Amino acid sequence: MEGLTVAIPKGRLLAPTLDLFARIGVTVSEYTENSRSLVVGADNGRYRFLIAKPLDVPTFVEYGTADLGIVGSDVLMEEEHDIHEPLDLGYGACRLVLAAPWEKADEELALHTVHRVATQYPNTTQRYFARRGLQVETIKLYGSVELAPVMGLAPLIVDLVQTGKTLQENGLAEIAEIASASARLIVNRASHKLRFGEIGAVIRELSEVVAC
Amino acid sequence: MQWEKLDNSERIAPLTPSGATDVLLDDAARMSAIEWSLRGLFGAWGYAEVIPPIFERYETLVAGGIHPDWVYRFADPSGEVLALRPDLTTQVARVVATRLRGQPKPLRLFYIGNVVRRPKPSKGQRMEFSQGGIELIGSSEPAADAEVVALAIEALLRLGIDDFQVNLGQSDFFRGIVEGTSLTESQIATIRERLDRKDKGALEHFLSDLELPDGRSRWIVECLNLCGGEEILDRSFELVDSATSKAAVENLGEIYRILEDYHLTDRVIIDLAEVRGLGYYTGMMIEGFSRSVSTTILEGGRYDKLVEKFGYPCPAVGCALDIPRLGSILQKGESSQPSAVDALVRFRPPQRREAYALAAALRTGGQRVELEVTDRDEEEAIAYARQKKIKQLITVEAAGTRIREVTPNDSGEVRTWKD
Repeated sequence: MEGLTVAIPKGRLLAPTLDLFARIGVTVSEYTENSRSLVVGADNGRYRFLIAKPLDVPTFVEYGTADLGIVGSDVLMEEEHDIHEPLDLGYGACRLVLAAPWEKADEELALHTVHRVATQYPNTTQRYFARRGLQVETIKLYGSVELAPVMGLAPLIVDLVQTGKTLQENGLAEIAEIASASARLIVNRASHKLRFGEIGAVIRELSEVVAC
Repeated sequence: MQWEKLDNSERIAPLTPSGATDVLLDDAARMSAIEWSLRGLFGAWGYAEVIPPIFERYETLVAGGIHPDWVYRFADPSGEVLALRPDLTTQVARVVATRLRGQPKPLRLFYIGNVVRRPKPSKGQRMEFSQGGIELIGSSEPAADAEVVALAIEALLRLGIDDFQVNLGQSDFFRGIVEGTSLTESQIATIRERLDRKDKGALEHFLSDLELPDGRSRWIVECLNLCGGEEILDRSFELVDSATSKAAVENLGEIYRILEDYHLTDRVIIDLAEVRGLGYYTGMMIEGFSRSVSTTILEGGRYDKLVEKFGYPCPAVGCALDIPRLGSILQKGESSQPSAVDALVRFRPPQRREAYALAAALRTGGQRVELEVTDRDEEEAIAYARQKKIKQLITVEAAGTRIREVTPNDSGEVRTWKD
């Protein structure tokens, strides 16, 4: 039978993800830091890894191009995908926070007018404010979101933080935590049904190494 | 096709709305062939066709339990809210409760038709697609459920589709676990949602705060593993101490044993982990998957309360196949173009009558024949035939009839027509 295809994200989750698979005995010597190939086979031939942008991982899994995927829960929260997410892998932990320039944080916290919020997560941001009955205007940015309050594009930002250092360095203070995020295992719905035993075994193996 | 660069000053609205698809040529032929195959098979099992309208009163469609988010609605000039049907089962239920009420039961009906579903925003998903479905009305016996499953499997096999599996669930199984508890509707919805995403961690976390009686939390989490072969039936029966859930497992067991007599259980997976399904299911649920498209290709189930919504209590079970997806499965296995024309017949004006008679004779013999209707010369006709993969060019003229085999490169061998 054909091996399983796993979509894994470029960027900060890539190294710990390869490490995770190494811990269940799946190594990829074909892949190196500077390699440009986007599809690499595992040494045991049972897995094929597809290396994609984090935001694209759920798409590859939803459409069945990959059977499994690893992606941050921040991505899953932002866009709705019809997939299974059976396991929190724990690593890559970070927080999605609402932040503002520290000297204005209290004032912004009052939230008495329509606010502009710059973020890479407009849907999550809209949902967060809507639940509180607040209307905000979201401005979608693709990176360096801290620039927005510094340069006066928007007084508020919603962004992912690990240590909070970048916020501090840009004179921003955290107002509220919107969600905590970590790496997730996701599974194509049809694959999960068609290869229940096989995929079930992978989930068990991964959950064992994650637990210890 | 000519591909031009996108001009940034261009702000013309697209010609088709997002989610709408033109199905053309070979794809259309393949889909029609599937429809005719289904018609033939459903007919052979005693099912009769119904053709309901594409639009309905909005109220009728949602009365049955279809989620309003799915429904494309609009107002007619008088202000009445109408909707495009997201499924045909609700319409069949309406028809059965009204015009077909007096028909002897059980009643076997089938349909082939398009449904329109509102796609998820921003996803560019298809909005309209065709379904072929069957409904067996007036029997609550497991034999009726099994017949629907067997006929669905038979339909796929008849189409030459082989890489599929059918999962059978039972909606009462989960209902039995949560009934009689203090859980609110919204708590049940959250549990369902987490079961649906197979999110064990979030499910356990949510359940740990609820303090459910006698092991019910464990039953719910265990649901995630209730997918597999026949052995799942015993395991599920032992797991839960709820009369409703146990009855659901027994019902599924009976259906499974009947399917053994159809020799079809090698296609069937018992899946009590599935809590999805249209709002109106009340018993067995069926969902089919194919490896080559990684998605659902058929779905259905028992809906004993749906016909009653239209004033006539009557049990029923049915399922619908997703025709475009069956088409994509078949396309992957195809080696040649299905609809190529066999011959183009051209002629000199005085020989028109003979040419028409020749074309008619070839068609009677089962060939696909095009007649020339332009004044192009033979080389232009050959170029056209080559492009369209027409196999022969037949020229009828005073000297007789000539056949040229159309080959991809050279001008082809010339034969003179005998007989």
